[in-house]
Amino acid sequence: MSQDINFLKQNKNQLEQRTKEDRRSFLLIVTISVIVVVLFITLLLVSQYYQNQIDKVATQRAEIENNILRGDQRTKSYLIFYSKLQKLVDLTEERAGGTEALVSTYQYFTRKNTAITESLYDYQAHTLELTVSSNSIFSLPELFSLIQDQNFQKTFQSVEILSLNRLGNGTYSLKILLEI
Amino acid sequence: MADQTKKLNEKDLNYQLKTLGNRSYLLLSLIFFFSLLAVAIFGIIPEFGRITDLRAQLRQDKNNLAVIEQKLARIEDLVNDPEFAQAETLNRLLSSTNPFLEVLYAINELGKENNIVFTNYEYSPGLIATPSARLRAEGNEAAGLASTVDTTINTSEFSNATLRQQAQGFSISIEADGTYANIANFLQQIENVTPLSSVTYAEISNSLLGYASAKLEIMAHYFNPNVIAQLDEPLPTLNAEEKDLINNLDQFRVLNISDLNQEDIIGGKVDLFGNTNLNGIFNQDQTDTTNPN
Repeated sequence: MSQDINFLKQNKNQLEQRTKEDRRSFLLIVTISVIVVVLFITLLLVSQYYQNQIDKVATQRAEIENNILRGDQRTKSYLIFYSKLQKLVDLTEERAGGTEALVSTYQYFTRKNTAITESLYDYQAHTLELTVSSNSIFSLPELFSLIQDQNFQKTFQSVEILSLNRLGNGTYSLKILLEI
Repeated sequence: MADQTKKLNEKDLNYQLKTLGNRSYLLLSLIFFFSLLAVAIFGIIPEFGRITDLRAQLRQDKNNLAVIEQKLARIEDLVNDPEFAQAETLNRLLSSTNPFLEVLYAINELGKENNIVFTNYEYSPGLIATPSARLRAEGNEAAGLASTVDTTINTSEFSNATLRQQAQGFSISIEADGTYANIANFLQQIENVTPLSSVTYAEISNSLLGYASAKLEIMAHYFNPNVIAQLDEPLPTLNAEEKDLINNLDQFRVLNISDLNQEDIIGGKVDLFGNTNLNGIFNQDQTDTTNPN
């Protein structure tokens, strides 16, 4: 009962209690502050470390770049070499073996009773148009069998018979279109 | 009344100050808290971001460094590269300049070897209706007239993407007589000698009496690439097809125009115009002018 009416003491106790709590909070926040400051300094140091590493790499890079530039002529020669090689691959692929086909068809059709009388090679169209002749009606089946031979047909993309003509001298000629 | 209000306000202020004085730790805590907040907002968070960026940059720089280190090692190693050692042969095969004389020489040599007689030559850079002219026109269009650009190297701005360009070329129309077999052999051989040529058109008429006549069109290729590449871009490597071709370059016969014996030319080294005596002509002219009769 006496405590209840001693307002001054009660007030003093409250004040002390509050001050104690405030001090505890202050200590806590100071501790956190120290941690945060240490963290901040650590981050600054880490950041500086990375910056130094980047500068070091940049120095190395500059040195290597200088060395590469010193080998400029060799690089240029290699790039030209590479470029030309690519072009050579393209050009050799584009040919599609047309001239080889001219030789091989000549060897294939030149026989006792058959021969090539005309040939027309078109690089752009990748075609070879041949006029092959048989010296008589009796050798015409031989000419057909040569054209229809599976091995012969396999060497071309397509084999198409365009026309059959009989000439005044009794020879027969077949016009065929070979897609190379 | 005003005095009373003033007194009350003064009391209130005194009370507040007294309270703050008693709660100095709280005040300091608040100051520390807001300072911490400021350090966190303006210091730690941006620093974290900066470190993340620096790490990413460092990683990127190290990768780039590794690439250019490899490139440098590759450039230094090119001396021992067996494929690159074929560069000279490749240059002969696909010249950077117009190989007009070399092509004529090759045609002539192979014609002689195959007993072919050329009845008509036509160097036709202006023809527009032939297959080779069409081919050339398409090539120029696709190249965007890049062929007119000199071969230059810009070390700060390389780009391998621009390496794929169209080859240049010119066509030669020929009329030839010989046997069908020889003409066909000639056509096959002309595609396998230096400088690189392609037969773009061939019309052979075989008489079956042992001779044939042909109208031929040969396209000679040359290529002057416009090379641009990035400094930090690695040197391109050859794929299997390219390696296969470069290792089989010996399938192309090297015809060197320097092998041409000038004694074979009519008139030899002394008189390239054959039996024509230029001195005689000049003397004759002088005689004519001095002595009109």
